[in-house]
Amino acid sequence: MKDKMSILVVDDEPIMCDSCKKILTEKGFTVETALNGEEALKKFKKGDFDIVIVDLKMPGVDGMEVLRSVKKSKPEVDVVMITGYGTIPSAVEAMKLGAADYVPKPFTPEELGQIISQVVEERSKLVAEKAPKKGAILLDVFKKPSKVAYHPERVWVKDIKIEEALDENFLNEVRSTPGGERVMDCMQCGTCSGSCPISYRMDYTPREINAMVRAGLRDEVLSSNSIWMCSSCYLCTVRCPRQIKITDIMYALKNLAMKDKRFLKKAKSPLLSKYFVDIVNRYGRNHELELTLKFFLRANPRAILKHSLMGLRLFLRKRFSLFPKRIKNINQLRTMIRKAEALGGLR
Amino acid sequence: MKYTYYPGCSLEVSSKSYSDSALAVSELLGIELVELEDWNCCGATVYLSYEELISFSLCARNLALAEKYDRDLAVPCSSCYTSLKKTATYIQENAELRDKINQALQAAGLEYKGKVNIKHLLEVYVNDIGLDVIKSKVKRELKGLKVAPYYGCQIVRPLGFDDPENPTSLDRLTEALGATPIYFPNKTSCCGSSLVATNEELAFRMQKDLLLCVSGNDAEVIITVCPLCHMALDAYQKKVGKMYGFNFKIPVLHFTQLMGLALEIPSRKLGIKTGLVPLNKALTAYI
Repeated sequence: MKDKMSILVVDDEPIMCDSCKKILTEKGFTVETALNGEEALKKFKKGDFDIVIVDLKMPGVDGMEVLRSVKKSKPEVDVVMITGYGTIPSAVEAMKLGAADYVPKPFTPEELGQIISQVVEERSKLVAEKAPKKGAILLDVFKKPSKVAYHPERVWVKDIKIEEALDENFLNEVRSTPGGERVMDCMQCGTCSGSCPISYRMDYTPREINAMVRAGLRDEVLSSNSIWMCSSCYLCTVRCPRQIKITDIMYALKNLAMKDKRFLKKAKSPLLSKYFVDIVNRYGRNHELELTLKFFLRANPRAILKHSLMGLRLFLRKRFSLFPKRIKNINQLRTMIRKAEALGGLR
Repeated sequence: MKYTYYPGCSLEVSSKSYSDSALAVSELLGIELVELEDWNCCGATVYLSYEELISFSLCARNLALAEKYDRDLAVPCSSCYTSLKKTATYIQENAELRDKINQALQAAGLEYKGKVNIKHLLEVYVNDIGLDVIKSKVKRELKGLKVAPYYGCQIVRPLGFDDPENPTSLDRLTEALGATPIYFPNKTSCCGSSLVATNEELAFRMQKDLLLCVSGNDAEVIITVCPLCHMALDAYQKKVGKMYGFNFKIPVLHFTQLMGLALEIPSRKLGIKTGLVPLNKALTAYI
């Protein structure tokens, strides 16, 4: 956006032009005036205006004609109609043609100022919306056809915003994980996605995840359900013609997501992991009953009731123990865990 | 033959019958399984999702403890097998990981030099003992019994000892017992066990596909090589059937239990009746 917005005021009464120019210049706009439609369109063609204020009734090319021409050549320019002969049909027609507002004469300097401020505010909102967001261009490519029309040609859209979207550190985080080293070798063949028993339920398939990791779309990847859907069956890994360890990449992504609560809102798996970790850190071994109860009490209490009969049958067959099994040297294990924690993980 | 034995958490309680039958069968085959002193949880997929370095370190502690003995490490659970083997492999391959794990181990007064050889129990039986020996020990051939040899994923992938797409070791073992392996194209498909708590519907769908294939090919029993696959297919079988309108009634046994039947080990020792799906006539004939 320019520092100063420029406005063209068009009215066949010189006094009207002058007073508008005075009011708007005081408000910090660059203002030019024109005394008739022809002059207005000439100036408009040469200049670079953001807003045109135009009187409806003028001899020769009238306000409606000016509005039509402006909108045809530069639809993004806002046109405010002013008139001393305000009628409903003309207002409706002006709005239909795309006028931003419609102001009846006479108006006070405050009223004019207020209307123009509103137009400016709407404009800045629109400009902000239309501006490519970080990663927006790339994300379009990755959206599923069901959500957004798929435009394969956009893969080749070159936009300086792509560079801005790159979070190179994200790629490095993944590459520095055992198994994540070869992510750059991906040739997007999709063998992983075709092999995955769950890819059809993922926000982004494994192939897409690989591309997104490389593009640096950190938030999109880490907040997707894909990483939590992976059941760790390693079929993608053994089939990848480039020997990319996709399952390991999924683990790296889970670890990264675990460190930021923003990404964990919907998924239940992080909760299960957290309880599991607590139990193993406490006893050295898993205690299945405690894990099951803790997890379902928090995540889905109704499931406890639903599976209670199954639980009872397992219990009767001694397949559930009320008490945890503990390792003897738990202090050794905890010292090791604390040291690993102090080392700050793998990244 | 002597092995260090790493049972894993599931075999302590929920799949104790797997451990019981494995010990009984091994003894009969002349294998001594010596339980690893004070072993800890391998971390499985769940800890690995939370924090990789700690999870790898958990496995490394077990490997460090096992390294004190000059024996291979025998692991009956596919998930433990993959966790331990992956850790051992990555310690070799990745210097940075090795360095950090060593620091964590040192803090706890431990050291791992990278010498432990990790084997799944099925690998021990088929490759180390050999099918000929097993065949010679069979006292009661399971003639005509139609068996679905289910491998699941983590025994063959990513670092397994058999073909990751079309493994045959369990099929061949089944044949050695005199039984008949069914046509089972999705024998290495994932059972969805790791999703059953967090996304039941999705896990059930995966189990349904497996059970449909098994029942469609007239299997009389499914055998598993992983306690988690066993739990998924046995404990949830009725619910999966109910959800999709099928009346599945296929007993699920740990592969060592089936071996035990052929070796004429008393069924009580094998914990053969601890499954939730009741045994059928085809199986009770051997009890």
